[in-house]
Amino acid sequence: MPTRPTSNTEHPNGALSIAHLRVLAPPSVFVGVATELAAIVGEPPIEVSEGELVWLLDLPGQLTPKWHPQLLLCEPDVDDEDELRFVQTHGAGLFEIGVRVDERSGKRRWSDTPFGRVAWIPV
Amino acid sequence: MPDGAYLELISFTHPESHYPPSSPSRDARRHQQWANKECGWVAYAFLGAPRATQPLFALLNERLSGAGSNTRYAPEDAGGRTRSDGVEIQWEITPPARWAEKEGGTRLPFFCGDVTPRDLRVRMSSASATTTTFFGLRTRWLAWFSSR
Repeated sequence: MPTRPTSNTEHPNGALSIAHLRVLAPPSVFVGVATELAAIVGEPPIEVSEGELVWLLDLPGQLTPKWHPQLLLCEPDVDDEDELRFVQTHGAGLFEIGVRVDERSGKRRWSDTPFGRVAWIPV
Repeated sequence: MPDGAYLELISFTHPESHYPPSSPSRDARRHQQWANKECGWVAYAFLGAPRATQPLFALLNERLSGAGSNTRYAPEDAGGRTRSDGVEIQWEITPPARWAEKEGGTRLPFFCGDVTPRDLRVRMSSASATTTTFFGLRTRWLAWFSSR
């Protein structure tokens, strides 16, 4: 995907880059998926909390990036019907993509659709 | 996006019923890799390594085996296209072995590495950086994103 012309990369919704990928896994397979992702990424995850792990991804071409895209592995929130429905339907899988947005865009929290979720991360 | 990450919007031109019964085109439509997936996020990718001395799929399988997992990656699969200006670009995909199954396609990443110079496929400005991730998703997201 060419980044020129600039209309390819400058979006009215203020999107700047990918902040995170959030993979949900039911508790029954959570440890197994964590083991697989750790082997694939080549590093153990950081435990954010019980049922929430994160890998900090690299940005090729940047030796000391100012931020890292994150790969998140989470158990579904038991109070979130969409997350529970997702793992019941799909099993483990990509549920949400986080997008870094210009804080002036006014976007906050997330946007849900029948097919997935986009979280807006103001920067 | 400014850092080179991108979302790939995929939509079939026609439903399967559009093609004549028992025709090659109908068969191709039915067995296309995304045809059995639900609408929504269908895949995500990390940057591959097509010129690695040890093929990436072998490295991944070695690690997975060492971790006691039965999950495996399939050998690299070549892809490519010719740009509208006639320049040929080539890449290699390293997919999870069970990627084609209806469910579980987004459980693990696939890898995509450029065989031809990446700049031919993702022309970056000097102020930008390449990124490890790109994503695939299916049709109805297109309308959703367009409405925002």
